[in-house]
Amino acid sequence: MRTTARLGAISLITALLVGGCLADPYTGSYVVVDFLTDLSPSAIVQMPDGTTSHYEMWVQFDDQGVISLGKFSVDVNGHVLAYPGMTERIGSLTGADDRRRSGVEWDSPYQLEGVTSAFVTIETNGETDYAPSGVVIMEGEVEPTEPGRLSGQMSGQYTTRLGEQKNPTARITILLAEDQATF
Amino acid sequence: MKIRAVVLVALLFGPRIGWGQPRDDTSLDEVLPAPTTDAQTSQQEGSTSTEPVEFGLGFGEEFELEARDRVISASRTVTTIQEVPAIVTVITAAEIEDRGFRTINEILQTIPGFEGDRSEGHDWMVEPFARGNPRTLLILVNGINVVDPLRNNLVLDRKIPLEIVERIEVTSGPGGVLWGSNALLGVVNITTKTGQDHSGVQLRVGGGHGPGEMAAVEVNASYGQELIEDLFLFANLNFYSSQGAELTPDSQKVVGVLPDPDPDGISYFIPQSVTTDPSRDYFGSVYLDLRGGPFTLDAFIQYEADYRQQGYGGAVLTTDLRSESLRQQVGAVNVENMGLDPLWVFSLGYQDRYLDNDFGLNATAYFVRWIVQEDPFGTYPPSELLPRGYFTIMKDQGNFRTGLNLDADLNLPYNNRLIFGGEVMGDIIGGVEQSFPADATSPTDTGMITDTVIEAGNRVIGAVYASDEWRASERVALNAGARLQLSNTYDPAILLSGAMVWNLFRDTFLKVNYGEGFRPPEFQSTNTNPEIPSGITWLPNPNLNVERSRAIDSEINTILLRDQGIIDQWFFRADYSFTIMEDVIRNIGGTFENSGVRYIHTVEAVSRLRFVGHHELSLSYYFVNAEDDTSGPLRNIANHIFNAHGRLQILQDMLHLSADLTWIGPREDANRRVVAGDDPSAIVMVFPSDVFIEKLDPVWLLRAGVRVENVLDRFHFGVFGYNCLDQEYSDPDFYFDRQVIIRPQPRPRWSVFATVEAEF
Repeated sequence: MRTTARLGAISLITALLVGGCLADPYTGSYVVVDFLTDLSPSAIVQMPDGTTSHYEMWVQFDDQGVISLGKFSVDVNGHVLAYPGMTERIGSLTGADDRRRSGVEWDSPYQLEGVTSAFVTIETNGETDYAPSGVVIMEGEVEPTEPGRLSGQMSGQYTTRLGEQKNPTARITILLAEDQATF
Repeated sequence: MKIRAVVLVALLFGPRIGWGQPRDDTSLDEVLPAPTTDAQTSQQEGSTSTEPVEFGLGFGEEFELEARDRVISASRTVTTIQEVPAIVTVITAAEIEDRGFRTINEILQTIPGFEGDRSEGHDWMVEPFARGNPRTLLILVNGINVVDPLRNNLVLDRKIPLEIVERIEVTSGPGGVLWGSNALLGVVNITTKTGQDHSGVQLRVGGGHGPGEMAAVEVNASYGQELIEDLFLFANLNFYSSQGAELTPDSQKVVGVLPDPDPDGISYFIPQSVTTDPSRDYFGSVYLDLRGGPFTLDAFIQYEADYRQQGYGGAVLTTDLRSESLRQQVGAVNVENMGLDPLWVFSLGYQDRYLDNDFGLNATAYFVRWIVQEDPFGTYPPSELLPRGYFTIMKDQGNFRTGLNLDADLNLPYNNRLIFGGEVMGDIIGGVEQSFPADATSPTDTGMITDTVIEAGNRVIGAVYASDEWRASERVALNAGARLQLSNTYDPAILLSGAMVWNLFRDTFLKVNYGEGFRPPEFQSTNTNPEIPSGITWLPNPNLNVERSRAIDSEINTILLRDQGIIDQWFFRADYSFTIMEDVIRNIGGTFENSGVRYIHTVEAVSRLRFVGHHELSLSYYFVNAEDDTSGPLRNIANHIFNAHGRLQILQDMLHLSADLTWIGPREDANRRVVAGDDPSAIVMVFPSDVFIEKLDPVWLLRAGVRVENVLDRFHFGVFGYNCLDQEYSDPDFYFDRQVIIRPQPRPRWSVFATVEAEF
């Protein structure tokens, strides 16, 4: 009887402990974008009014709003740097150097399961609002390709400060956080 | 050999330590007989007998305490598994033989709180995880820290032959106050054999085969003797060789990005599988233990040459990358990687007791050497992209540690026992050089360039610590400790610990303990050459601080049944731990930074049922959930691991069967899909955005064998099968990131190994 009581108490404690461990799901997402062609160094990209600019990556939830993944600039070596600051390197353009690097990464604290499209804008340097400027240089639809993953392609065009017309393209993948604790 | 274990306790701790497990709630203080001699104690402590140890309590009632129930490392003094203020598992030499363990990784695979035998870099490194995190374990050999400061790791393959191991004590959770550096999430303390416990000559030869370990042979010779009065020698020679495992990656990497933290990029694959056929590996070691009176001299010298046909990043080498002139220049010809990764450990110890055994002193001076050389290191086989292929050679100039540990224990009034001490330790990094062809695309040889990847460096560490155990009542012990760690390379660290052990009722204990640990930055994150011609682009950060851990552990353990019918003893424990890792070092934008907090929940449960006649059935369960506040859950670990162990004694002391079944739950790995085009032999390009979460199925690993012992009183035979269910499985990367290894890493399939031992 004493043994049974001990076993029961231990089982209850264990069950409570295990149950407590299964809470606290993470809801963030990971986004990687390969900028394949024609994303110019920020120094030669400008807003329509001629002000200096940087890039900003957005995702859209159907018609319900947009979320910025991050602002960034591109240097002459094709390195993608977080803006402002421009010291944190978050990736490279495809073919940026002899190792054909690519891939720009963002960790988002949000669950991006409902994202339907993605787009890149240019934004005026120094602006701090949370809305896209409206100067979209490429965009594309994003859709689920398998559980926990969305992907799509973006394309568009813009003209540089030097008068060159560019046709940027990119691929985007969004990995959603999932609760892994499954048998 | 049965001994009166009460003598052991009395000698080592005086009459105040522990309340033992007396029957009828009788205090152990009241029943302890007078101590005997130190020599007896040391002999008893090191006993390798498979027989249980008897604790005679003077009432005609006895309980048995096996060698595996005694714990030393968790509190730096001898106590029992049930009472020690930590979560501890002990594996003895007898159990290692019984269960057919080959490596320390395999042992850790069976212990809750750990996921042993994880592969990184396609079997280049095989290491355990503790509480869901790699490289968070302090590995001690006779109390000496043997974790390589260059990478904060020690590959636990056959580097330390189990034939020299007397016992391994595994502590789950931080142990920084008593053990200092690297005891972040666990401690593995390996105690080696001595001439006091082993006399005579033991020869062991073995051989085996199977796709999981091909054409394996082993020769081991041990010699133990009392040379002259009170001077004991134990010597061991070990040689092991095999062709390693056939591994079948599902595609062949041709060119790819450098490992994280280098920037990501495009990789190129041939989407066809290939099975590797590597050359023979060689492991050899010499171990000597000489002890007389209070002095101990230990030496462990090891050599290994480990051949791998699959590159760290997944490239499969099948042809010689080097032209004749390069062969002459480089001085070696390999169509595969040869890793040279030896470990040397030397120590001189002094241990004695004074003041009628109330004061004990233990001093150990030591020297450790590691070296890692990989030839080639980076490997890209010939392809239409690189017609002559490409390779790099990495040469570690040697890493060294020398230090002095000073530990003491003192019995104080009012049922207090103080453990205190300090250490002085110096780490010296010789630096790492890398050589590579000057122009990989040139049709002619352009010679080799050598540059320094990691610069030489050193670190001096000093520490003092104290931990007091106060037996507040006959049933409750309280423990508090603190450590101050100083170094010339990181800010001072203060660590704290505390514990309560409550003997609820006979054979049942409740423990709650708090522990802290830390891990110094690995030298490769502080001493990387910032201007490397060979292309590594991540920057060092010499101002990194130590990574910290804090954990609250709770445990209830009990002997559910004892001497009931066919049941000899039924032991059960359940633990819950909440651990926080802080200042986790990660690479942000090409530079290492302290960033982020990691929250870890773990549950461990063990049920060990021992039957009359030395039969045994053990079941254990381990749950871990680790979540990083910047990158989310660690999905590359198994959240659930079950272990079952059975031992069936068919003929007393002659024949037994043993089996270990491990179920590793589903794991996930961020990989990239390699999709073949119309021509399956054509190279395909894989982008970072091809990333997806690959779900790796659960794995059933079965190790089973039979041992026939004491034939003609001197011969023993054993045959064990490994991965008997022939599971073809893969491991995720060490870290849940998106870049390092793009495809899952295949692991060894089945193999068998048979041994014959003779004692003279």
